Amino acid sequence: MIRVDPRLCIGCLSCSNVCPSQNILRTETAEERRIRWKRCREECDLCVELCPTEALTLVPIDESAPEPEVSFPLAGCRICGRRYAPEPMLRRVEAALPKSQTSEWVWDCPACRRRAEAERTTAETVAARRRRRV
Amino acid sequence: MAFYVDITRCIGCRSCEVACERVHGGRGHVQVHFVEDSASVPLFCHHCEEASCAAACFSGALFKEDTRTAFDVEKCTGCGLCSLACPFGVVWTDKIAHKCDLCDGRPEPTCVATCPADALSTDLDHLSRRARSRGARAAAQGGRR
Amino acid sequence: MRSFVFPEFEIIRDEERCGSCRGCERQCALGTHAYDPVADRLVSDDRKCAGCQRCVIFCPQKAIVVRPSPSFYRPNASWSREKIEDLKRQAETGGVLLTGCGSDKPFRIYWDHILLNASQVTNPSIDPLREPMELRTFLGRKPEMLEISREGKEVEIKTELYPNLTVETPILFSAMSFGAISYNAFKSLATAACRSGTYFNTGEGGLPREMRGEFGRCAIVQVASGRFGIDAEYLNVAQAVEIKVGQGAKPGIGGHLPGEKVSAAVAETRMIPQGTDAISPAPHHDIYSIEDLSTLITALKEATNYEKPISVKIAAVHNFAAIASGIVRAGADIIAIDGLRGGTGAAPKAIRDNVGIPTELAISSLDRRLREEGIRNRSSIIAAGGFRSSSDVIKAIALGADAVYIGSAALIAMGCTLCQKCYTGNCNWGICTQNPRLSGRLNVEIASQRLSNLISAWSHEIREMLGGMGINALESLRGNRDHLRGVGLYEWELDVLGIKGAGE
Repeated sequence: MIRVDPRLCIGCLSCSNVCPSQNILRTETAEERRIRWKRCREECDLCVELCPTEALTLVPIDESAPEPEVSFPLAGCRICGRRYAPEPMLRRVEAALPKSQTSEWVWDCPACRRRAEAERTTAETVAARRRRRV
Repeated sequence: MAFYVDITRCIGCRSCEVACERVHGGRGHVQVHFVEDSASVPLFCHHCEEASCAAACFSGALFKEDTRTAFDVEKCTGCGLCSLACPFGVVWTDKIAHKCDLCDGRPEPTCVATCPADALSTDLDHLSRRARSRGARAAAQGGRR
Repeated sequence: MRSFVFPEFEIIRDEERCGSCRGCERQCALGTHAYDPVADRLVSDDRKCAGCQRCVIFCPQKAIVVRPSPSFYRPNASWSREKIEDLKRQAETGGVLLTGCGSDKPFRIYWDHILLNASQVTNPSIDPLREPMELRTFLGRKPEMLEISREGKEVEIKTELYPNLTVETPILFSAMSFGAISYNAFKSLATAACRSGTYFNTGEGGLPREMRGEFGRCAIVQVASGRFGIDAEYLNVAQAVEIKVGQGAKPGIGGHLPGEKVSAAVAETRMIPQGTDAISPAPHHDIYSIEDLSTLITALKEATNYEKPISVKIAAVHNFAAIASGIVRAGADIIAIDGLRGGTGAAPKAIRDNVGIPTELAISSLDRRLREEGIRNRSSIIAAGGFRSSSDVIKAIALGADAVYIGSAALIAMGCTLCQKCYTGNCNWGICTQNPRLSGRLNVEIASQRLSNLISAWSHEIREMLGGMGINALESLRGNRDHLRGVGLYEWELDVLGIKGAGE
């Protein structure tokens, strides 16, 4: 079975995606993301191998141990307020960004990022056209 | 290589979206955004020079290969870090990440080939040449286009 | 160059069962399976498959079958498929064919032609569940005679005893170096050895510093021709020191650990620069005679303050018994003898399959030779190479071995499927690789549990068989060939083994 270090887990669902036996269950509501590791007898190790934070370890099966479960409240978008991702994931992304880049946009949801990009491009083009006309 | 979009030519027909979806098995990488009534903007992966999606990817599925940001489906775990790391919001994730691959294996990205208004190009010169000739034409017509 | 060799295996995927979970793709480090995101299905490339069966075992839907490919060349008794394909491979690469694991050739397996005895009527059999059964074995030199003093009820041995290894069961883990196998596999062997009261052998790759404190008490350390990772602490922390002269899978051949496998940890343990090839020369360059060997044995005894038995490991080759006699006279306390089927991480196929003699014959002729010369007490014999079950072990002991080394058997317990691709360094089971992603797959706790279980199972079976023979101590079976009978063997084979034919 799998032991989880809840301090390291960022709630990315990598493990749940790679689990061939669907032993890692996810429940996502508008407010939070919940992950539960079933007491699994496989020793396939894929979730451990492919965890970005090395939060998982394979341990011998223990029938009496509780099934590990973690939950993350989802962070809300600065613009539209929609909750879109667990905060630890966003912090990890922020830390991974190249130093030369600004990072506050991480706290906007992807939909708002797209809208902002479309609006910016439009504004630029309009401005350029205006310059040409002058 | 990257996309260059001349949004003054975009007519908002969303042909690029359809073409991309067809090539990529129903999961497209383009989204045409409408800014009120004033413009339609197809949003693409920019294949950023300092790609933040590649920086956030832990498994090495996203990486810089020459000028493009390449994607190796074998390594992808669908963790979604890249989606959150894209400043333009143009990387999607479900079971795996979905991101523009410049239509690997085709001579030209299908969206560019499909665009009926010729608004897309992978060649910056092409666009700038057109802009210059437009400028010249405008000058010849007395400053008006 | 276009390869003219058939894919060795055929991968059959039951598309109805396959849930496209991509487990197989992620399990295979050789890239056999690939996911096609457009069609949402998996495709397999038979050519890349090594037949390790990892994907088969971990497929949750049991949708994959990997079997030898049915393609064939025109049947030909002389030109077997293997010979044709080896030749083609060489024509394509121009190189030596490498392989891993022990020889898989159909040389006679004498274990399967030897039968054990059991008690009936005139001598009672013993029930090992009710009566004590002694498997404890002492490895090392024994005195010529024992002087005992008795004072009342107190009995004391007056003779000074030589240092001996005490093993609770006559099964030791044979030399597999850190570098050849992964850190986790190495640590699993060490953990299991300590737990089961037996010993693991470090091989020639040294003993990682952080493992010395905990696992030194159940380690036999090796000094081989490459002299990797040897320092005074290494020698002294262990319970015995083994000089490796030869290896059953590749007698007369040195070792070669490719640079890709020399990770930072391996480099530190071996005391060589990271990423450089670790090459063990074929001979020890300071041993060209029995006298030279004697010098090294004495040097090692000096270095370990005469407190540890010194073992010498040689491959069983023609006339080895005479050489072994010399080795005993040179001062070796233990002789490890590695037979034809001994395993390896990498060996030239031609050598592995054609050099050496079978372990069974080697044990018997060595034991007989040492007895004839009256020096059997000066050295214990550890036999190695091709032990597959507890009955093989007990037959080896009846033929004259003191204990056995198991290598392949231990790896199989950890998950190895003998796919013979050890030399590629891409072991999907995490055993024979230094790729951190793959080696992480082998969980030390679970793997060492499997190993301890194996040792305990074999020990139980050995007790059962001993009990059936009416023997209550392994000591009484050693070299006791009367308990063995041969079936289907030629006269000369029975002679070499020193056993009678069945019914005689």
